[in-house]
Amino acid sequence: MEFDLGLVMNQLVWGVMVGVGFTLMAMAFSLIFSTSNMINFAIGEFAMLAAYFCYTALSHVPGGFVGAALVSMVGIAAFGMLVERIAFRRLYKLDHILVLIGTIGLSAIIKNLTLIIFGPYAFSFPQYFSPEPIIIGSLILIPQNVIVALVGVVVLIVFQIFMKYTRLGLAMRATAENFHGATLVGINTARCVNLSWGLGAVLAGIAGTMMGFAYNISIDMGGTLGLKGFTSAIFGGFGSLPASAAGGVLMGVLENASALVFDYTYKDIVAFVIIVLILLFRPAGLFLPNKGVRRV
Amino acid sequence: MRKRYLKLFGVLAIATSILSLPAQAQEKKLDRPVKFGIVSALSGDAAAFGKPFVDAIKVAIDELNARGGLLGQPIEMIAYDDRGVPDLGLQVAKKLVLEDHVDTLQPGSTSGVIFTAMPVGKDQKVAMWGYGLAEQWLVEGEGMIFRSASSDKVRLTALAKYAHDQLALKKVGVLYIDNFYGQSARDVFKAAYKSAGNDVATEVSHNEGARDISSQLLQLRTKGLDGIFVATTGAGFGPLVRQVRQFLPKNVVVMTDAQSADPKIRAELGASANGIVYAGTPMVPQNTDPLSQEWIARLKEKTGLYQEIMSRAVTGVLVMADAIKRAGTVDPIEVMKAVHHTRGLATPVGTYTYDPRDGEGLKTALVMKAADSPEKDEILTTVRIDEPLYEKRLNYDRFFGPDYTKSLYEFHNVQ
Repeated sequence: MEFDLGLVMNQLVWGVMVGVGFTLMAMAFSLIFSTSNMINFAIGEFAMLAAYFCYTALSHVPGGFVGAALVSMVGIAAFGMLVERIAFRRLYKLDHILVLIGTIGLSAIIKNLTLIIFGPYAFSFPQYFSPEPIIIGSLILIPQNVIVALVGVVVLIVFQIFMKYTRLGLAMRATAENFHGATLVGINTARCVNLSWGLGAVLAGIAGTMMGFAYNISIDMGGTLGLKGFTSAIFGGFGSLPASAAGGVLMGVLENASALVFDYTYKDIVAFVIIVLILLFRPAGLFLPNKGVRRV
Repeated sequence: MRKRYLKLFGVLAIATSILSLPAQAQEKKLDRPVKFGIVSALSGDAAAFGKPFVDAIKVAIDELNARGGLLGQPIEMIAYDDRGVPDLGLQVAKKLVLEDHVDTLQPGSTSGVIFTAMPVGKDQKVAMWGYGLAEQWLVEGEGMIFRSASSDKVRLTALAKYAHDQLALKKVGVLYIDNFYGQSARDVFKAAYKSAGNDVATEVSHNEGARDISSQLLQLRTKGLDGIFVATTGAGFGPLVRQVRQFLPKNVVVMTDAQSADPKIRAELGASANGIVYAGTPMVPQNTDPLSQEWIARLKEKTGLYQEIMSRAVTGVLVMADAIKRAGTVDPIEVMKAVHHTRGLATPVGTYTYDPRDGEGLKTALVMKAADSPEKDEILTTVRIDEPLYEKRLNYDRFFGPDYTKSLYEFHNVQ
């Protein structure tokens, strides 16, 4: 096979851009898991719902897309926190499998309610940028996708700053590190868990809204986003925000890079083969030590 | 005396029964509505065309009911959601046939679902029609199902031939969705392009639900293509075709099926749609045929817009209704025999004449070029194919008897 440097560069750059979306979803999964010890399989539907919120808000709030997106993030955060408070807080003492099934049920409820309200059709945001690609040498960039990637990076940076340098972020990290220890030192762990659901919903909501911005919004988009986010989190390290973030980007790069070697039909298969290998040999994730991980 | 009256009464009773027999054989009056069973995608990715399809059936049925219904009874539609999934389609088809006891069945939202669910209708001998465009389910239908549109074979042959002969495209690629429809459309286009004189240069696929195909398109960009046929469907059609336009050089001619005429998809594509060459049906705003125009106007009035998929809904209902009326019964074998003997029936997509060799009744397709809006699109050429479309001829023996094929061929004057 001939080595085409331009093609390789393009695949890597696009892999990173696509991976930023996976990263947001992976971090949403990990954030909720780290504080509540629960896998929320409705995260994909949170992403979808936020995109629909944004689309609806577009014709009702000032500020164009930015205004609508901000409103939808507040909306999805409130939704995530409400769901945790009303439905799942009382389930934490139950078997984790039951809680997991509960989130799958929540996913189905969100999807079907959205279908009833919005119908089965896909929607598109207005095209704010020219569809013409930007070509720099052999690098091809689509303006909309570049904006999405940049927004993702900014969100990641802001989120890291929040978690590292604010009291609330510190409290949430303490809750994630040691729930009982955090309670003992006076941290309101219930509030931290609730907030993690809200922030996780926002991260997913940003991923969903950006995906809608770059492509379109449809009822089924949450399933794909959720799956990619979940596998990216496992790939990098479930429960660790930096590891999940790295996992998301690497997953995007590997998927695109695999097209250089294998047939495109196997693009998704390659990703899942890697996941299986990770689970076999580094079950804690690629970027976390195996210490303390038991096979079940 | 009493014995004489009894004898007379007996003779009268027997005579009345004998005299009324021909009338009973001619038309069995129903004492219930005629039930049209519909399996379509009302949710999921395929709902983008599944829902408008059902809406259009409702419009057609309402129109027929306003004109008196069928066999003295109204037509009732019973529709279930298959989500575009074959297994689910099979389940709901069984429900329609075994529980709802429908008189006719449209067994799926896609060719893949139709192919999976159709055996239910065959086993229970239900008169069926399908709106998918693939070959397989029609040929396997053994005469118990008809198609309500021109098939992929007609449309994509017209498109491939135009691409080769008129556009003189030398290096064409195929981008297809990795499901029954995509693989079938890919195969038909490749075969048609080859018979026009060239092999397809390359083919790439994407999964169902995919929205980002950057890796595939980046690879295609290096192949030096001058044309690409995009065989995708569902909610991803708009963003995927837009990406094709963005990633591939401007000189690459983008070709698609009739989805490019869909007003919703055109709204998504915007200026990216300009110049797309697509294969369509004669039921378009540009066609001056009065029946076509009448139905387009009616569908726009009742549903808010006209989409190509609706032409298949209306045509299916009209052909099936005409067959039931001529058969004078809902007996499925008699109804399908009436379909097989349909000749010159005016429909909004053209004249329906059943060809017993391949089971197709509509063999005309248009090749069109997208402009600013579907109403301004240009008709590049109209193609009609009279020869049998498929190598395998339909086998009518199982349901219609061993001599039926010969008589049917004679009726249609074909060999």
